[in-house]
Amino acid sequence: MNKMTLVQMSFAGGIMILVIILVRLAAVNRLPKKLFNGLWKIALLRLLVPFSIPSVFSVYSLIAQNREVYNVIMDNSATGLIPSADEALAAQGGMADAAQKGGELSAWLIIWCIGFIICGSFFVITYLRCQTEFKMSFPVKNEFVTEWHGKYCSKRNIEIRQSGRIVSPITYGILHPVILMPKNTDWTDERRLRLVLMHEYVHICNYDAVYKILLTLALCVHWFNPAVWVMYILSNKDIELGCDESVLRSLGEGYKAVYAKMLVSMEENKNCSMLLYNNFSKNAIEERVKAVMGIKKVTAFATALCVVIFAGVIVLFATSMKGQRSETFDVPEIVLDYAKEYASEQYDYIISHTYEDEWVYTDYTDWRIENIEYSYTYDNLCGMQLEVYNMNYEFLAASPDEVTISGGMYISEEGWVMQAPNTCYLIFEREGDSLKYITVLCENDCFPGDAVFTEDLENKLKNSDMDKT
Amino acid sequence: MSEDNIKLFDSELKVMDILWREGDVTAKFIANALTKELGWNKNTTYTLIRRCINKHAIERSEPGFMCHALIPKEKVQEAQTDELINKIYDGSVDKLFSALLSRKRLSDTQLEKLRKIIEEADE
Repeated sequence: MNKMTLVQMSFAGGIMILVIILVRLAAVNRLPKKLFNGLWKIALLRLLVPFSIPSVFSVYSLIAQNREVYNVIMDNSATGLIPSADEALAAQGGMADAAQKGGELSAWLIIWCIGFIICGSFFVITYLRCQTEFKMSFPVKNEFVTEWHGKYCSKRNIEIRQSGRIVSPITYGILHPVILMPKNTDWTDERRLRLVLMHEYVHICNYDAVYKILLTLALCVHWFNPAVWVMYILSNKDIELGCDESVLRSLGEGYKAVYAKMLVSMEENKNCSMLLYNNFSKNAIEERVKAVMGIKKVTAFATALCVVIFAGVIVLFATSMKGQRSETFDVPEIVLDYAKEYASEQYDYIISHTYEDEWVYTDYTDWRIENIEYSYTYDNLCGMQLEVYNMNYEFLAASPDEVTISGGMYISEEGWVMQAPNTCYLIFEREGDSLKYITVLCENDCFPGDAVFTEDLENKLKNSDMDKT
Repeated sequence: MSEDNIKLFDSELKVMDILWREGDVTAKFIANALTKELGWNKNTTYTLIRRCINKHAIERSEPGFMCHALIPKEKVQEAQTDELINKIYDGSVDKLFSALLSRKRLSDTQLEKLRKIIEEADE
């Protein structure tokens, strides 16, 4: 599993959301709402859980073909958050601007905090205000309600109350759920009452209150991502639509017309924006009526299609690209980036030559940087101040038991194979505050600073015309 | 010093009800009574008492957070009836009256009360 940064999560989530929006546009009234609710929940997980599983099928592997995008997004800076603009520039190598050191609080972090606090405060304050009002409600003394309550509510401790301050039914509370009815409910209209209570009951059974809180949290964390705002609005709609669907499925299609008429009559009653509560008559009554009337039996084909879409989205988007299992190391970003690029190239090479070359007969599935550290500085070699970084990279064997260890190789318990420890050196030129990539040198049995190493390095620089003398 | 147009919500009226029924009592008493009657927790009741104080419907005195109703029940009933007549019966008392009479059969006690009111009005 890889740990992800906020920007990575937001980007990944954003792409998933766009895909879900497309699927929804194409098939919103033809596929059961359960599918969309499930998809939104996966997207929500992606936005809130900072881990992922590497896979070659991941959409992000395709995106990473573009080197620039890779640099900006797959940043593993020490702050663990959004890369500063300077760091992104430095990664492309050779800009004269100063690169910020990883330890400083970047301006982006402060901006994010402000946004998060504003969003969070808005929701928290609205929630608390509503809670105070809802607590001032009265119990309901009605035969039908008492009977209904006895039938459905005993297991989860649900209360049914009424309040003069709301105009349409609302459900709130997780540990002690409450269905709040408006004061002017017609308690004698049992048919309609049953539908309303059923609807709220389904919300409670699905733990929609928890789901909504998580959605709101994701919105506050990813306030800068417009896709997440769209997800917030659409997934709330789908919660209501999904609830309508569940009610009608359990009660039977005969109730469709009654249910639809009730939705229409609720249209006149609109509550203020209570985004956190399951509200019976939210916006777009028309959309709901259409959806309700269009509910039909789920065909086997539709179910199969749903499963395929669901699985496909998970595999494509919940996984991440390879090579991310690298810890953070105490070297400048540009050094780590080039190390990764080099290791990745070696990995691609060995993958494409497995079983073809005589010496490559191990199946590898992933690569990573095991270690990278500063090694040595040449104050003046070929007219440049050069910094040498030593790195070790490893490949993950598919079947560790079958790996033949040859001289110098090393394999860890989990199956990570290091081809040749401490032989790979990255050379950078120091220009003031920034580093510029020069070359990579592979050396056995000698070290930076000694005669053999220095001579090899000099020769390489002269041969590739990088000599500055 | 009672205001003429104090608008009290249903929940606030429940608080006032206790005071009208029991006379001056402590806030704690009100809270306990409403917990029993409606299932409210203490904080909810205290918030409502505070709102009533801000609306000049209740007067608080120490020691012990004693509450005293500043508006009599009749005044509130009167105000609410006026509102009902204006809002729903187009300002016509007759319409309200005929609606009441046609709702259900009046019991003997109710008829007796009505006769008494008419007699007193005649005097």
